[in-house]
Amino acid sequence: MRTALSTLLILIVWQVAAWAVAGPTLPGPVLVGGVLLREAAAGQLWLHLGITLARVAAAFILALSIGTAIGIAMGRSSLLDNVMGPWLTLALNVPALVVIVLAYLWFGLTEAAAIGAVAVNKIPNVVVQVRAGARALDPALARMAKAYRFSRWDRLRHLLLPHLQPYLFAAARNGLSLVWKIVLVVELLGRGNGVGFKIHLAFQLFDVASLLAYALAFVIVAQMIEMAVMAPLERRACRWRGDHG
Amino acid sequence: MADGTPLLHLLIKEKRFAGVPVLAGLVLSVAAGELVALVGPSGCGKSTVLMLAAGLDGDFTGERHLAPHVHPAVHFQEPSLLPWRSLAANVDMALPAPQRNKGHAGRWLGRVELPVQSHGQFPTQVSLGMQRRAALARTLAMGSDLLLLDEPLVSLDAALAERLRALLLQQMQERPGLGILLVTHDLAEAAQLADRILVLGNRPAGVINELRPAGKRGERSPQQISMAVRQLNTAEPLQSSIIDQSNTEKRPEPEIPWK
Repeated sequence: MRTALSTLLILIVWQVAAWAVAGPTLPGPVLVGGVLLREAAAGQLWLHLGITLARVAAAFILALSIGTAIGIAMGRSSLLDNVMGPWLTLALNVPALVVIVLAYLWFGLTEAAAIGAVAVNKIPNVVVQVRAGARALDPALARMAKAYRFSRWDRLRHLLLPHLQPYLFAAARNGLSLVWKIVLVVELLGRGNGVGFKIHLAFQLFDVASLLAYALAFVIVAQMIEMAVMAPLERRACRWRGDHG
Repeated sequence: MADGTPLLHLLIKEKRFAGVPVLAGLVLSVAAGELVALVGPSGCGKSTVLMLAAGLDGDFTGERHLAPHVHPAVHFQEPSLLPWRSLAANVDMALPAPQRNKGHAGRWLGRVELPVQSHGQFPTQVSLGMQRRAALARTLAMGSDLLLLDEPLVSLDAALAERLRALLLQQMQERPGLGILLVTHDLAEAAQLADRILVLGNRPAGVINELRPAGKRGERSPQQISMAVRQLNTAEPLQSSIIDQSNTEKRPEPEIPWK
């Protein structure tokens, strides 16, 4: 109910602003909604949205798995942490745009270069979060795992990953938003399809309505992923915390 | 393992914490078929001795020998259960992977008197006493020949603690090769259960007294138990079993068959 009211409020502000501007630089929600429906009916919206989503998913999975592996290693080994710490600082501070342009220059305007560039941009953030989690492991539980001679696999599956769950969810949450923003840049610079490509076209044609329509579509999809996937997963993973039992 | 075979031999020349010596000149051994109690005032280093005996802290000068193929099962003072796994899953974790999910966990949880409804619950959903009992079930389920128990019955109600003591004694009866090192602050418990009682004291701590209470473990009369507690409380070391602190270094080391 509150969400609906706040959404309505944004739409009203937007419409009032559009009336005030009264020109093609800021089309109102009704106009943008019309473009959205037209694009959806023509199938264009689904095509470009689907391609962008596939790229987001690929880069996201790649970044999360590689970042988690590196983060655990760095969090549990001070040697690795010392060796790789400076590299991490460097990687965190390289601008996304530089990575994207370099990837395209070195590996060509390919799908692999595009997805790889997005993943490389996201990995350092995942590493930082997972490393903090791995460092915070309860020493009593680590000792217990040693006493009961947990295998490497048991340690990972029953001790480290469940412990890291809240950190992984945090990494996944802001990972998703960061990844999709970078995917649009990658598409704008070197892909012939996707939401980023459409926004590029809209920019060249000064078509603000299309630009807003595509941005709006993606925001709605991101919200749906949060509500349909992330939130239920997190609830399930946190059952043991006691406040649900 | 045959009755009387040494399972654990531990010689702590010195153990320091942050540069300060906390244990020195301490010799301890546990044989198959023997229940050794380690008593002493709180903070004297009993739990530290247990951690060294378990091999979980290798930062000391001295020696630690385990009989071949013996992997001690440790019961920590804090339950140390995985909070994201049910009680039954926690017990299962102590078993080798092929033996998991075969009902062993449920049986052991039953033996420490945890009701069936609690077996699927998470540790945060049950009381601390129940968590401790689940941890004890985990230790026993491992089927190890050497149990290292740190205050396993603390904070349980008296009747239940008594039944769990009986369970420990029963384990000793059923498995002649089993040896137990029991850390406890409860002198009466030590006097009731142990074949030998080691008293830890001084700073840095060592074994200042060793007592073999009269009578058989588990069958001692209240008089025998209170007699043993009195003996433990006397400051004077007992004639029969003094460990002389002054020449620990020179004392010949006991024969260890596998050395």
